[in-house]
Formats: sequence, C-alpha cells, structure tokens
Amino acid sequence: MLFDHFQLRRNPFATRYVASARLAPRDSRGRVLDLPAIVDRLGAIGGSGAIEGPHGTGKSTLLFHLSEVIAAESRPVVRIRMRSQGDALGVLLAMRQAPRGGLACIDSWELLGTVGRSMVRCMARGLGIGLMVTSHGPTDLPTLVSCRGSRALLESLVGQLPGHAEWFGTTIIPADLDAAIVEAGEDLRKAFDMLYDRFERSRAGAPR
Amino acid sequence: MRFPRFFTKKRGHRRTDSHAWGSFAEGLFYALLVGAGVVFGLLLVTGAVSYAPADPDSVVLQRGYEWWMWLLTLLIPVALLAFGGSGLVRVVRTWGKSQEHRAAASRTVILEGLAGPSPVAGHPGVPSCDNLENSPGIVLRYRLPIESPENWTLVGFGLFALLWNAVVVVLAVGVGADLIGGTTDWLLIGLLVPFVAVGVGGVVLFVRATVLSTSVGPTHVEISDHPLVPGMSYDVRLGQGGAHLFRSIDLGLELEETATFRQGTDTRTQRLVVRRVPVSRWQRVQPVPGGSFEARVAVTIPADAMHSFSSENNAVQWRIVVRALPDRWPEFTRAFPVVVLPVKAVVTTSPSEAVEALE
Amino acid sequence: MNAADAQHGDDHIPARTAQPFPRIELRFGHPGRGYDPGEWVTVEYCIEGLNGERPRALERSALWYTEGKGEEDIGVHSFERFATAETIDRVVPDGTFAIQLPTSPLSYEGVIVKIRWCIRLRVFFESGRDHVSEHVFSVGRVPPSILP
Repeated sequence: MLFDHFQLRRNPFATRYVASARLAPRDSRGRVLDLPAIVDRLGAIGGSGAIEGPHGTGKSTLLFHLSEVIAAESRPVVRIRMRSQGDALGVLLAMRQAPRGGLACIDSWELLGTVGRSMVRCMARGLGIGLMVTSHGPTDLPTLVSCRGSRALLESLVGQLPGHAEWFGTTIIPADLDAAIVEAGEDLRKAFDMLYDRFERSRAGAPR
Repeated sequence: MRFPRFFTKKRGHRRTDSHAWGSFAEGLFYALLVGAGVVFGLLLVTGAVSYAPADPDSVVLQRGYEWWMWLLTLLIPVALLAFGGSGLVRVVRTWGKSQEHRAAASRTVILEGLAGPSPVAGHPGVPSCDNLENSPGIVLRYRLPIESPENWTLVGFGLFALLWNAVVVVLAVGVGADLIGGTTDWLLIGLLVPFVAVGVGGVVLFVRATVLSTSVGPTHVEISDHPLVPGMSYDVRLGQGGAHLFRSIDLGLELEETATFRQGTDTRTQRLVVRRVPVSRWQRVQPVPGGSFEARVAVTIPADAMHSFSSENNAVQWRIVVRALPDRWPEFTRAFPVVVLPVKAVVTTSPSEAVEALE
Repeated sequence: MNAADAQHGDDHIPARTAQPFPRIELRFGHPGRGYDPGEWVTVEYCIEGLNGERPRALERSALWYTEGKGEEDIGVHSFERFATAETIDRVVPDGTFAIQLPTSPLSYEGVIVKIRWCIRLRVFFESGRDHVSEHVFSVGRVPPSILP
C-alpha cells in the first residue's frame, strides 16, 4: 500500500523531526532537562540570562521549550529570531509588544552587535521585561545554561526520533553515530545532517 | 511623454526597455570610465612634473620618481582607459543592431517565429517561466538563459582586482615617499606585503578567468518550446564558441534538488543532482574559426519526470547541462534551467458520487 | 467505518500534555490513498477518546509540505474552521468531506527534498489545549528518486 511506502521512506533525520520544537531538550549526558528548575534559576539571576554554547548544541531548542514553560505560566513572552544584523530594529519594535513583567526571547544575541545589545538591555530595563537569549559564547548577560554536544546527547536525541525501534540497529547502527560525532564534533545539527545522508544511503543499499 | 529609463530592472539577464536608450546609457558609462582614466592620469602626470624655474618653457620630471613608481601610479588610469575604451568600442559596433541582425551577419538563418504567449498560470508550486521565455532564439523559439553567467564572475574578479590594487597603489606610494624621504615606516611596509599578495592574486584570477572565457567561448542553448511536458520531445540547438579544440562536449538533462536550512546565524544550502539523462556527446570538436560549433538534437523529457518545484526553502529543478572538455584547459559546465510542468490533471468523479462510493 | 481501512495518522502530542489525548481515525475514499492531480479526495473521520470533553473548534485542511534537509515549507490547499456550537455539532465527533486536488505539486520522494500531501485535523478544546492529527496520501505517480 502506498501508505506503507511512505512509512518506509520517511527519513527520521529530516528537519521536521529534528527541528527545535520537536525534541525534548537534554543535557550533555542525555538526561532530560528540568525546565521548571531552569526557569526558577532565571528568576534567581535577575530575570535575564543567556543560553550559551557552540553551533548545533541545542540552544534554540532549549530557548523554545523554556519559553513554552514560561508562557504556560501565563507570563507574556515575545519570541524573536534574528537572522542578520539588519533585524536589530525589528528586535526593538518587537520588544515594545511585551508588557511589563514579560520576557523577550532572542535567538542569536550576538547578531545585535555591541550597540544593539546595549540598546536592547536599556530598553528591557526601561520596560521592565526580562531577556532570555542564545549566544555562541559568554555574553554581557549572566549564563543561564551552557549547552554542549556529546555522543550521549546525540544518542538520546536519536532515540526520540519517530520510528526509532524500526530502523535503529538496521538502517542506522551505533557505529554511524560514532562516525557522525567524530566528524561533527559538538555540532549535533551537522551530525543529524550526516545521519540523514547515511539513512538515505542505507536505504538505497549503499555499502558502509 | 515617457522618459527613457537607463536603469530599468532587467528580467533575468535581458533588457526590458528600449534597446537604443539602454545602449546609449551603456556607452555613456564606458565614456565616463575613459574620461575618469584620462583625468586621473593627467592629474598624476601633472603632479609629477614641473617646469624649470630658470626656463619656464621647459618641463622636467620631478626628481625622485623611478620607472617602477610610474608603472604603479599609472596602473589605475590605464585600467580605466582600457576597460572603458573596450566597452565603448563594443557599444559602437553593436549600436542599433538587433540580435537577429547580428546573427544574420554571422550567416545564421532565422527559421522559427517569435515566442507566443506564456502558458496560463494554474500550477501551484511550479516556478514562473517568465525569465526563461523573454529571449527569442535565432533558430529555435527560445534562447535559454545560463544559470550563473560567467561574465558576472569576470566582472566581479575585475572590479575586485581594480579596487584592491588601487589601495595597494596608495599604500605603495606612501611607502615609496617615506623611503625617498629617508624614513622607514615598518608598520606600513608590513601592511603592504599582504595587500600586494592579495592584489597579485586578484590580478592572476582575473587574467585567468578572462583567458578562459575568451578561449572557450560562450555557450548558447535554444529550444523549440517551453515550458516542457513529461513524455514530449523538443528540438534543442547547441552553439559552442571558442578558438580551440574540444576533446568532448556532452549535452544532457539533470534534475537537481535544493534544500536550505536556517538556524540562528547558520544558513546551509545543499544541492544534489538526483537524475541525469544523457542526450548527446560529441568528440574532438573544432569550432569554426570566428564562429561556433553548432548542433541540433532532440531532447525527450522522461514520461515519469517530476515537475519543476520551488518554495521558499526547497526546490526541484530541471536543467539542460553542457559539459565541455577543452584541449589543454579544465573541464567546464554550463547549465540552462528549464521548467517542466506536471502531467495533465484528471477530473474524475464529482464529490457527491465519491461520497456515495465511500458510504 | 471499516477498521481495516481506517488509519491512525501521526498524532502530534505537545510534550507538556498530561491529559489523555483523543484518537482520530480517518478513511480515504481510495484504500491505497493514491490520487491523480485534479481528482476528488473524499475523507471520512471519527474522533474518539474525547472523554466527555467538548471541543470548542475543529479545523480541517488539505495541504502539502516539504520534508528533507531544508526548512519545512507548506502550502495550504483547502482550509475549513468550525467554531460555533451549531457547526461543531455537525463535524464532531465524526464527519465526511471532499476536496478537489490541484494540478500541482505532485507527491515526490526525493533524496534531500520530499513533497508530501496530507489531511490535517486539529481539535481545539475549552481547556486551551489542541490536538493535531495528520494523514498522508499521495498525488501523482512520480517514482522515487534514488541517491546517485
């Protein structure tokens, strides 16, 4: 049946399955993060903090899930995703939508530049809203969480992907994860990319 | 009264406004470059000459300027004169001539009429054909645009080399003046070294690209109809210029997938050719001197071909691809995008009948 | 509804949901779920496991989406929302509807780009939570691309 055909040809490493919203955030040992505890820590460090870590270590994923937890507590949340320095003005305009006591979640804090970051911090102080941002290294905001990629984390994330029991051990084997982590280092986004290709090649019957 | 527009947005790589006004503007641009070269050169020369106070009728060069200083100093104005002059000559030669006129001058006969109206829209996700159908062919109905014209790469290399070396010249003049004055600015000299290295590299790249472009010549592809439909055959005419022998020329169809992912500051685009349909191969091809190698073949779109698709971050695209291996030059590939429509829709039962069947 | 034909689609359950979620059984007019462009797709569905919780709205849509290594793009071909008491009673817990497919895009099993068609049902509850069920079908007969 065609539906079975589609089931077989679904690649679990496709973007729609590994994108930020889909996977539960975990620490470098693969353990599920205690999101409410992190939210409490955000309050303890003054209401603003940074999720820092190298490329592909789950910063955006964690930012999204934390913002969901905070929004569920009925606290207003504004989510801002930056793609270039030109988005700086958009960030300032978006922050104005957050009422006092709200939280602005900004992905890619460094793109704002020194001047932009100062302006955003000033505006946040003036408006009485908190900031939760992602960055690739230590910033001018206190560090809320440090994200690191690892083999254990990759394995636990792979375990969350759809149909894991059907293809893990056959189409994708543990040695593929080893090879991906060696090649990609801490960048799990890159590791997923490689596993995507590995999955397609395995399915096509290509030799390892 | 409609004022001429010199800077009309081009559809793809073609002009959309008056050819005459466009040529005039282009000529004006090159004339300005020539003028800038003359002015700049004169300023440099007059700044380096003076007259002997004792004999006002005599002009002498200022002392302290060696021959290599002259070479460096005059590099920019000479470059401006050369670039602007060649462009002016080209504009004058092609002034007032249509593409067909130019083709007729090279003894090519126009066989087909001009393009008809574009197909009616109604294929969601299928990219527009406008940019692919706005240039009539000389022999066949349409002339396809090349995917990444090497001319722009050449212009890019040239501009980079020009601008970078202008900075190098300024630095070099500064260093030279210091040395002549008896002072040594090691910081400036240290800065000059990498700049010169990059400048030389830029010139080498530009010269190499120019030689390659002029040696292998342009590639033209025309097609008898567009957009394309799976299962149908089309006439394709290939024209390959060049002065030298080609060991082989391959013409084929390719299906390429493109996927773009963005997360934070990362933007990754991957392209993958998933299907190749060889069409024809020629070996030991020698273009006609002053002309080009020409061939006409039939290209059949596979009956089970996926149609062209384009969305914000993903694309599935067909291309006619020409791969050529010139003798003593590296192989090059030139791609000409085409649009393939989906197979015709089938309207079967009405919804009420289908619901009854379900029950 | 014939249980042999009914399919449970991909149910998207938000991670924070602690309450039991409903199950949506959906049957396509074509058992093989394969259609040609321009054809009518008829669907019969049944929402189970509501446990007395009354939905406040239902959305039914037919859309295509991309899957692969790129960001997901979607194109909504058909969309209906039922949010009043009268209309909700007509479409919950079961209903039937039909949509005519466009000429494109066709379903495509590429390597780094795939195009899928699906029927998506989204149920909204008074408590504020929502539940999405996606049921894939195919349009056209384009063979899968293989890794070169």
